[in-house]
Amino acid sequence: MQRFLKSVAGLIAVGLIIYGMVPWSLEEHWLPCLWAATILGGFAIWPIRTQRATGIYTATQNLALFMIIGFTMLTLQLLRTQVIRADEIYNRVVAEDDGNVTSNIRLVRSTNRIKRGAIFDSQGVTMAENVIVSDNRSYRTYPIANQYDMRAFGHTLGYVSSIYGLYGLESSYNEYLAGGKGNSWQNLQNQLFSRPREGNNVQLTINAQLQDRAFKALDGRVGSVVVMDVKTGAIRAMVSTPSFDPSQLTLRLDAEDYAAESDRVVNYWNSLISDESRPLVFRSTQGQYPPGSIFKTVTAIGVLNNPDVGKPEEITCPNELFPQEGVSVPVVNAVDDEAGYIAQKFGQKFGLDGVYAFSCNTAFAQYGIRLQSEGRNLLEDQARRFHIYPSDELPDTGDLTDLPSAPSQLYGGEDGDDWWSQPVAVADTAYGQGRLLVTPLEMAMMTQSIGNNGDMMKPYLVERVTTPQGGELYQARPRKIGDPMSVEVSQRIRVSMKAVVEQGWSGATVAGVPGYSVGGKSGTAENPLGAPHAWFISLAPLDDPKYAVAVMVENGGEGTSVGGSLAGIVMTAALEINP
Amino acid sequence: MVRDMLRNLRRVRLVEVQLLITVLLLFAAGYMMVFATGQRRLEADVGSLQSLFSVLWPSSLPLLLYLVVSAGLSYRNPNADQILLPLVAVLSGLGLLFTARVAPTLDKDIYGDVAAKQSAFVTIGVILLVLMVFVDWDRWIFIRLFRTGMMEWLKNHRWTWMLLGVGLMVLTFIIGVDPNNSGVKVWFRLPGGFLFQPAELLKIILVVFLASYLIEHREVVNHGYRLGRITLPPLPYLVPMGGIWALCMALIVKQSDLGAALLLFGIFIAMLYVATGNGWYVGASFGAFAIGSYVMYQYIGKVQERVAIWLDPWSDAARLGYQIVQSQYALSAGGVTGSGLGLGAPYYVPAVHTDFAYTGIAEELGLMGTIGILIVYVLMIYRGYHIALSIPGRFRGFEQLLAVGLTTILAVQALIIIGGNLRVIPLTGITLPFISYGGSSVVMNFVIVGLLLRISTTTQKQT
Repeated sequence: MQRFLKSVAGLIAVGLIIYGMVPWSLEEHWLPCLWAATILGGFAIWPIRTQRATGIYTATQNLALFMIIGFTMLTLQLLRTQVIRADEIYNRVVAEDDGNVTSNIRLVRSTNRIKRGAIFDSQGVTMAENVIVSDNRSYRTYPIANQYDMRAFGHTLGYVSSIYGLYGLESSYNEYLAGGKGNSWQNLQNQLFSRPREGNNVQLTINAQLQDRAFKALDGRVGSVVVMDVKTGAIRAMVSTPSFDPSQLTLRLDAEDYAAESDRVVNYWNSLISDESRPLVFRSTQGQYPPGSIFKTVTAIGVLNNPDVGKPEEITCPNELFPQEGVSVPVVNAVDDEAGYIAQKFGQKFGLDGVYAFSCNTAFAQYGIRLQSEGRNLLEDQARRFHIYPSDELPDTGDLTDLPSAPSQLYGGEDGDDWWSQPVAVADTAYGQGRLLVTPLEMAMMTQSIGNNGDMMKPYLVERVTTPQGGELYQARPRKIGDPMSVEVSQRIRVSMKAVVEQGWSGATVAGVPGYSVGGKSGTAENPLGAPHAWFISLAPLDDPKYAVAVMVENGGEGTSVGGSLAGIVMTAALEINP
Repeated sequence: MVRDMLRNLRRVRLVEVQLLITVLLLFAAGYMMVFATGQRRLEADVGSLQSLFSVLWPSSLPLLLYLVVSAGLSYRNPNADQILLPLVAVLSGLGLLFTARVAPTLDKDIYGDVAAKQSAFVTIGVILLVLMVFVDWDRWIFIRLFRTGMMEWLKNHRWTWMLLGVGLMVLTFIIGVDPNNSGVKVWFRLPGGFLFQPAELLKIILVVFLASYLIEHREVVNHGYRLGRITLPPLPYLVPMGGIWALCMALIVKQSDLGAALLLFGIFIAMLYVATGNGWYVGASFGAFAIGSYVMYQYIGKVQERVAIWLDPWSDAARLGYQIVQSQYALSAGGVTGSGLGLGAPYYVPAVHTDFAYTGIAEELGLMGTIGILIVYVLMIYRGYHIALSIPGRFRGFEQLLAVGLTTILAVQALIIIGGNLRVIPLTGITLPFISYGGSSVVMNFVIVGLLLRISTTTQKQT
């Protein structure tokens, strides 16, 4: 009987240890497992004595056995910490609520020992490179800091800090930049001849000049600008404000007073994490905002893709609309008698162009309900084709994979599906409110697909990676990742976008660029946190689109004026720099 | 003449000499590594003899002393245990090596030259060992002064030991200082600026007292007091149990010195068990300790802190859990083979030269080094118990129990601090025997080994 119990205990102990070691077991289960296994295992191996022996001899043996069990426990813990789960512990990063991040200093320390690869902009301008100090150690410097405000590049480049780790592309392309990936033969040679290990060079799609002008255009406001190449999905500029200066987070290894240098970095970091406006958040890719009226573009494309149901040209713009019986709060327009303004420009029998140009909420509420009524799910399908998903289908990340990016959400919440089944929810969503949460990047991608005859391209930031000797390790290839509309629909909606800038609210003309035909759409997103977010998307030149721009100013106010003028400045810069 | 020489040659402790030379070669290689990596870091003149000598001299001296001790033993006590000394050499050598490795990364203004100081401590320790093993104390001092042997003398003055121990404790409460902001006042500042940790002496005194006391009362095992249906341990056990329990609790309350409390209580339980062979006493003592600790946990913030960061150091990684989190990073960086001596970054772990020496070695020597150290400790414990059990005769219970107790000090101490380093148990600040930097600890460990060797000289029969 005792032998049976002992073998059962032994088996359970082995099982517990195996469970604690496997990669998918929870960290907090391990200690209880280890302790339980030790007690059970100790019971299992404890010798059965036929008679009770009380001599010093037996007692000392038992004591020794007890110690052995203790040392076995230590061995198991060592095995787990140093070998089996070592990678997980080694790479563990803890971010606390106050923004304090604890990560393994060895990750960065190993990067100080190598000549990290340089980062170039799309024109080959050196943005970041390492200077060697001595003893094969080097640190990051930023040659473009002489020309531009480094804060324009903070989020995309990221930082390399021996205290605070890696961030941005420096983090996601660390394996290439640090030389761990791609040139093992070269590394071996360098090691044998004790030369510094060299990282690979990364060329971005970002145009430094355009990035800088976009940053200046934001002019201290909180917000984001994204400029994409319409044909390829390459990101030409992506700015988020407030931002930070990555050069302030690098320890200059040749500084005379190392303690002062260290203090400088720590103080700068502390000022960043204590800043309530959260300058470390990359709003372009990770900020999720209600889109406001720029979402009418999705509804409009849904209607155009399904003309039989949507009937784009049969639309009215009443002052009030009650989409659902029993709900007494109506959908209203931004101004009274919008239909009158529309009729002045588009005639009494106006259609999609008119209501789109004047951003008529009640009209788009009607479109939305048409797409969703009678068991149809066409608005939801259209949003999904733009990679805007209900929360239960939400992917873990957005479409950009070069950097951490957030997905975009059509609707969510505990009661999401119940909510979405109501006409009032569909109506609100169709004109851009409801429970929509989108990233500025996703809105830029939407605009890009309109310019690219309906083909949505994967957004990317890295053009190519080359070895220090110039050999090519990676070359970006534009890739289609979505098909939200037909070629005809894309051409048709471009006409509507042109109407926004040329015939819509007078403010929107600021989005125009002299000498080019520009299309756009404004958004003024109501939100519970304060003044509405100002949005604007624009596309130019319309006859053969080259750039898609999405701008967003947090609590900026009117999309038409604030967003439109910002988009105008950015589009002008883009077309000036590289027409 | 030739026969005499041959007989003397046979007395040479070849096993010990071989092992010691192996250890010496091991550390010669280790020091070269530390030297080379240190030179590279400091960009000093690589390969200059002077700089090599400055690294080598502090450590080579005590290591060479072991060979002298071995030679002396061959001459005087050829039958003493041959394995113990090489094991001590491995551990203390590793301690020297590692201290020399982290010394350049420590602030000299606060710690001084730890490598040189550690060498001095080990040298003092070896000299004490020599004095204990080679001087014929019985003949020169004890018989003359006390008319009894050294062991008998230790055994007979148990109340002196107890008073001395309690006195040390009380003194710590009153004049204890905290020179390096560790949060516990457990040092004495001796004249001349020396610091001494009385707990290190206290544990040996406790073992001597308990060995003497428990042997004296061995015969009363079965004379328990019945309290209703429960049989209480006989009074002679109940009183010291209660006394030591109270002492340990006082240590926690007054000093927050969890490590010392755990160690002293562990030693007590182990010796009580060996003396009585009664598992129930062990259970009862554990229970009392657990209840006491639980009550402490409710009221003492430091205890709660320690338990919280043991269970989840990551939730407060930047503050209270910092040390353990850094230690986990260092451990995981080690892998199987380690980064290599001088090539890792163990100095990011606070107190890496004292409490976290094991973690530091784990990073640079990897699993091979860490398990190697565990094996050395296990072998050392095995030899200690082996010495205890090979004592012949029925009337030497005191020496048996003394050897068991002394060995248990090393075992329990290693378990507690390595367990704390590895996050198996809550972290408590005690030293890793022979490896951690620290004068009192190193010297007292050598006293323990000296006593064990001395006991072992009388165990094996002359052959």
